[in-house]
Amino acid sequence: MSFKDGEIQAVSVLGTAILTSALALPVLYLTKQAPPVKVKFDNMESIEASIAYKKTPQKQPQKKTSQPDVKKPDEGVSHNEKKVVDACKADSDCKSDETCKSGTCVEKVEKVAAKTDVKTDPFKNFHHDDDNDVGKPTTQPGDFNGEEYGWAPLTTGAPFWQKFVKDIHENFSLPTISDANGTPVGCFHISPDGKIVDTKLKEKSDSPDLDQAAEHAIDAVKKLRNDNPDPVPTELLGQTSRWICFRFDPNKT
Amino acid sequence: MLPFRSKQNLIALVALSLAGSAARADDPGSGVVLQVNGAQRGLYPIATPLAPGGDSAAREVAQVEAMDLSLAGVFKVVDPTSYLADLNAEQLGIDPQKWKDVGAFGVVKYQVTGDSIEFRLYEVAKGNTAALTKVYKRAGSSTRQLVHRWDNEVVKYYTHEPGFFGSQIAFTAKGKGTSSIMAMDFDGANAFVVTHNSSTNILPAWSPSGGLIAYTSFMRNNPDLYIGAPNGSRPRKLSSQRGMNTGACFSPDGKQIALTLSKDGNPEIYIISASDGSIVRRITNDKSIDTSPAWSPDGSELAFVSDRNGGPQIFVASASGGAARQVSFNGDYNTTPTWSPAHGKHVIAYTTRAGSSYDIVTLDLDSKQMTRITQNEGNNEEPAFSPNGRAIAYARQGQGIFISNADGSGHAIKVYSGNVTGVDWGPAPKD
Repeated sequence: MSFKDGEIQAVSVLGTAILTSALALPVLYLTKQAPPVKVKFDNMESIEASIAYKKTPQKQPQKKTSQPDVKKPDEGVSHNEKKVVDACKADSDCKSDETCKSGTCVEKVEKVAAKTDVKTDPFKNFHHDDDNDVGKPTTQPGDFNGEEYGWAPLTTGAPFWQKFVKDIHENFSLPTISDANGTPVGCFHISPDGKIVDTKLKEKSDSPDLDQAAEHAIDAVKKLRNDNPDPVPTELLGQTSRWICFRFDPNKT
Repeated sequence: MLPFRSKQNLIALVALSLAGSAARADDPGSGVVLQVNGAQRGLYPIATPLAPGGDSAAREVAQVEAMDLSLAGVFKVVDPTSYLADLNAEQLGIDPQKWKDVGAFGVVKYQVTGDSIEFRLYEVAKGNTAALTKVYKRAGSSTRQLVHRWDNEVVKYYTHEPGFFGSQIAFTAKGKGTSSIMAMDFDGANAFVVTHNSSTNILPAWSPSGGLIAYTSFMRNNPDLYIGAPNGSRPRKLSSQRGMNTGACFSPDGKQIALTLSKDGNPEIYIISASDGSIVRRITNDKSIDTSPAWSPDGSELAFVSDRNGGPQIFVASASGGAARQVSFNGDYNTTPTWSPAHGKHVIAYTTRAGSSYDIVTLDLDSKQMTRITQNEGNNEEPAFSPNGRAIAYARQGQGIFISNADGSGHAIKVYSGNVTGVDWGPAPKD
C-alpha cells in the first residue's frame, strides 16, 4: 500500500487536529468547573505607596537660639510667692549673722584664707590627712638637720652618690692579715656646695682594724672632697639635709 | 567571727605590713645607708720609729727592724718622714690618733739599755696599751739577732706563723773562671764563702735542718755532688756518677735527695740516699732532658723541668715514680721550679721567659692562678721561697739577690749585690 503526497498531507493535518483537540478540550472543561479565586487586597502592602513617600527636605543643624535667662534683680517680685521680702537700709535692720546688701539682708561671708599662717608653714595649705609626720621642719631645703640619718639610693643611679662611693672604695684599704668581722657605718654631713662639714663613725664593727680602715677612708674622702668640692645636685639636697651614711662591708664583692 | 575569706585578707595585710617594716630598715630613721662593698686588701702599715735620743745600738735596732718587717711579706713600713707623733713625749708609749693620722695600723717601740732591749708592739686601733711586750738580755747575742727574734714574735702575733728572720740564703757567686757557694743572712748581712776551692761550684741546696749544704762541684772535673756544713768544713763527695750529678734537693725529712743524673747518657731524675748517695729509685725515664727536681712540702711529689713536649716546661710526678703531668703552659720556656712551703697551699714558683727577659711567676696548682712576681726588672731566675712561704728570693742577672712578697704585692728589695745565681733559702731559725 502506498500514498500519494496529497494523501500524506491530508492525513498529517487531520492527525494534528485530532491531537490538538484531545489536549485542549479537557483543559477548557476543567477551567469552567473551578470556583473563581477572590484576591484580598486589604492584607496587601502597596509597594507603590512606599516609593511614593515624600521625603522631608534636609536642613543644616540649627542652634537653639533661645533667649538667655535674665537675672532677676534682688529687689522686686520674688519668684517664690511665699518669700517675705527683707528690705533693709543698714546692717542693723538685719539679723546678727546677716548683712545688708543692696537693700537685702544676706548671710555674712567669713574670710577663711586670711586666718592661714603662711609665714610659719608654707606647706600647710597642701596638707593631706594621710600625709606622714615629717618631723621638725627645716627653714630652707638643704639645710643640715642632723637629727636623722639619711641614705643615698645608689640603685636609683644618682651619679653623685656613685662617685661618692667610688671615692670611699678607693680609700678603703684593709690589711690582708687583719680580721674583718662586722660592718661599720660611717656618716658624712655634706653641705650643698659639696664640702664635707663633719664626719663620724656611727657604728663600730667587731674588728678594730676594720673600724680604723673605715675611719681612714672617711677622713681621706673628707679631705679629697674639701680640696675639690663636688656640689650636691639640687634634687639630692633633701637627702643631704641629714647625715649620709655608708656601711662598709669588706667581705662583699 | 570573721568569715574565712576575711581572715585570709587580714593575714595578708599583716604580712604586708611586716614586710614593709623590714624594707624600711634602710630608711633614714633607721640610719642605713649606702653599701660600700669590698675593700682594697694590702699590706699591714706598721711604723718602726727610731727611739728618741738613741745611740748606735738604737739606730741599728731601727734599721734592722725596718728591714725585717719590709721583707716579711705582710707589712708595709710607714715612711718615717710622715710621722706626726712627738716621739720624745711618747717614749715607749703611743698617741694612737697621731699614728692613725699617718695611716699606721701598728707601731713598734723599743728602748735600748745597757744590758737589755725592751720591745713593745701597739695596735693603733686598740689604743695605747701594748699588744705585745718583750725584754731581751743583750749578753751573748748580737743586736741583730735580738731584733730578729723580736720580729719573729711580731710576725707570729699577726699571722700565727713562725717568721723567717735569722734564716740564711745560699747562692752561687760567679767569679773569673770560677764560681763559689756562698751563704748569708736572709737580709744580706754576714755573707760568707762556703766552698774554698778554685773550681766551679754551683746549685747549692740546704738540708731541712740547715746543718748541711749540698752542691755540685767540678773540682774533680766531673760535675759531682758534694755535701758539707755551711761553715766551710771539708765537704764529702756524695754522688759521683758518670756525667751530671746536679740540681740536688733534699726531701722534707732530709733523708733523701732528688737530683739529675746522666749516667746512662740522658739526664733523668733520680732519688738518692742523703747519707751515702746510693740510688733509691729512678723517677723519669724519657728520651728528653729532665732536670731541676723540687720536692713538694709533704714529700709526695716532685716538680721538675722536661722538654719532652718541645720547649722546657714544668712537670709534676709522684715521688714514688710514675707518669708525669705538665703543669706550666704559659710561654715556651719555663724552668727552675720550687714549691711553696706554706701550709695548705699547692703553689710553685718558677722562671719563665717573657719575650726577651726572664721573670719569676707563681702558679697555684689547684686554681691554676698565676701571679707575676717580677716584670720589666731585668732577667730574674731561680726563685726560692722563704721558710713560711711569704717571700721569694731570686737572682737578678748581673745585679744580685732580691726578695719580693710571694703574693706579688709590694716592691722587690735588694739584699745582696753581685753576679750571682742558684739561690736557695734555708730553714727558719730555731728559737
